Amino acid sequence: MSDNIDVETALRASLAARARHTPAADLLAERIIAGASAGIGAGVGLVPLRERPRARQWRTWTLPLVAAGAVAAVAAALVGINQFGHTAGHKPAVPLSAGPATPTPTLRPTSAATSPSPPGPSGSPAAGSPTRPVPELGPVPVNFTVFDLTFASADEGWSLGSGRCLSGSGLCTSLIRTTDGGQTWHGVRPPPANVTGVHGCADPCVWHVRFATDQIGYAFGPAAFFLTTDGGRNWRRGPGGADALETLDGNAIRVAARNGCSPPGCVYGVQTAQIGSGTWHDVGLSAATSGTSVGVALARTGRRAFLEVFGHTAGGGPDARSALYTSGDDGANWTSRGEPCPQRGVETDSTAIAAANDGSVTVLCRPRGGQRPQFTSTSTDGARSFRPGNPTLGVGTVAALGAASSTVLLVASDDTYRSADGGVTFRRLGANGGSSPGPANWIGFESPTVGRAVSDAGQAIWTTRDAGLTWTPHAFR
Amino acid sequence: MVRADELDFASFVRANTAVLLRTAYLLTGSAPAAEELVQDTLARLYPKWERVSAADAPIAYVRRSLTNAFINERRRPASRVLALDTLPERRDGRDAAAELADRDEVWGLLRTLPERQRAALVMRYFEDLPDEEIADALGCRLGTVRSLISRGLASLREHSAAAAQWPQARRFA
Repeated sequence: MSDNIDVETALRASLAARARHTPAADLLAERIIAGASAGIGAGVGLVPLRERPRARQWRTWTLPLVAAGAVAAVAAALVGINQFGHTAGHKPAVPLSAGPATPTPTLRPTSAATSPSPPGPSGSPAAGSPTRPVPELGPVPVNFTVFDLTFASADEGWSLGSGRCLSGSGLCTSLIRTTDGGQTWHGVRPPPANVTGVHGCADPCVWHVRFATDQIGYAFGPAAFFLTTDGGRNWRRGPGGADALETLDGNAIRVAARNGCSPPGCVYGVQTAQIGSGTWHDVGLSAATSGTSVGVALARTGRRAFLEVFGHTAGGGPDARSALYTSGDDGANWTSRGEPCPQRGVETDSTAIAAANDGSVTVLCRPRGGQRPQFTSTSTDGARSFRPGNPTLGVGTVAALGAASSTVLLVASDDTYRSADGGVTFRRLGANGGSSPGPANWIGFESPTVGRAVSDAGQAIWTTRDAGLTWTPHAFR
Repeated sequence: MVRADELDFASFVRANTAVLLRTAYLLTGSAPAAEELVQDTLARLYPKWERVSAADAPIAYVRRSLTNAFINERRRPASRVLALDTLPERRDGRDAAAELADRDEVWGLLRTLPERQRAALVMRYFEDLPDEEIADALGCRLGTVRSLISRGLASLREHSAAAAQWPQARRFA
């Protein structure tokens, strides 16, 4: 570099570019105000943000079909959010979409919504789904930033994000699609909604996209819900929203806060529906939440589904524990397993969850107090019992957790780390010139070998075809 | 009954969370960490909000608190167990100017700087604050601010040369 001017110019440009990825502030502001008003949290007075498995756009990426299951971790705003319809005590930053209580005929049932071939035991992609023309192919928008990622088969995937508007200036909601397993991407018609960074994500605001087949897809946020049954040519809005939604085995499981997402937390409900159907059925979730929950994560593999409901830890909140619910029948019935992380002399919270093709589920365990290192804990028996790994993950933020199997685990912080022994030891992938997604924001596996990662700030999607040993990027900038 | 200072606090939070969050995001490099930093900062100030609102520039008061919280938090050894690793790993022939022209690489380099240098650079080159306000936020003298900025820029130049040795795969952006 020749002189300071170049450095200063580059730095100014870099900061301006990065600032555009700042998360939306509206809901945070309301949460802070609500916490202050409620006086929650000894010594602090607010509801603390927990280490969420990716709040909003970053920790909630999931590959839905994927039996590999991904984590759909969502941090629900404590105030002003309505999923199935409610009124909060505080003015919501995002206008609410009113919705009736369930069961909710949210959207007109579509004609002959086809059920995809369910993945096999290993979670292989649906077979035999007909290939239809991709609607309105176009280029990937300039400066496309990945917010969410979904694959409906080994080849077909979609990514929701933002990109430079094709006309005029500013950022627009963008949806891109791949039909070759992520090697090439094209722009397609996005849902008629805002995303983070676009119009302040004003209503309707969506954070996630899921496609069950090449035709049936969902775009949703805590207060907005869209369905397409024609591959994205048309999106229809339904009432309410969803904090998490995953499709598998021809059905969809939807999790949303209901009736009173106000301090100190939310009460979550679960609904199921056939994919593409607008008729949702309430599912009993005994004492699912007590109103002190601040987020959920949903992961599926085979017929198993894992729903983790995160408690808030206000002032240390010993009673606000996370709870893991499991289903072995595609979400029809649920069993509470309590906090899956072992309590080794200090309260330890599960902060992320990932399911793998072999039916296992792994959680990330974070001891409270920030003094003891984190670790993973894995179950191979439907979450009846867990086997903890070694506490080797430090106390810093772990931004992503992925599981190719019960033994091959990946976590991301300053770099991506891989364990081949169930979390006993981790190796830094970027060491010695190795290919690595680096500080990834999300990691997920579609099969025991094929996985994806999204790099810092959504600039690139990385693919591995050897269970995370090596990675190849597809950059959007 | 809602107290006047509560109304004032709410009004301030609604009006300024976005700007504070942007600063926090640029300091921490992480959305969750930024949200936590902003929330913790405002939580600490809420009990003494009368004092904050009586300040000449409440936003400067809050920014100072936020910056201090960031620096103090990052100084804790425990918070750095998973530290950034920026060691050069392989030479690929790109020159330093090309490297530094890459915005995202600059971002990566910025995150390796000491917290006070990073904070000073963010306040100068993103918020365009004058040295006096940066000094106020950092609780230091004007000369220290200039030194922090100068050393920060020097580090970026120096590391940009080393970064030319990064593997190609890391430079996708």
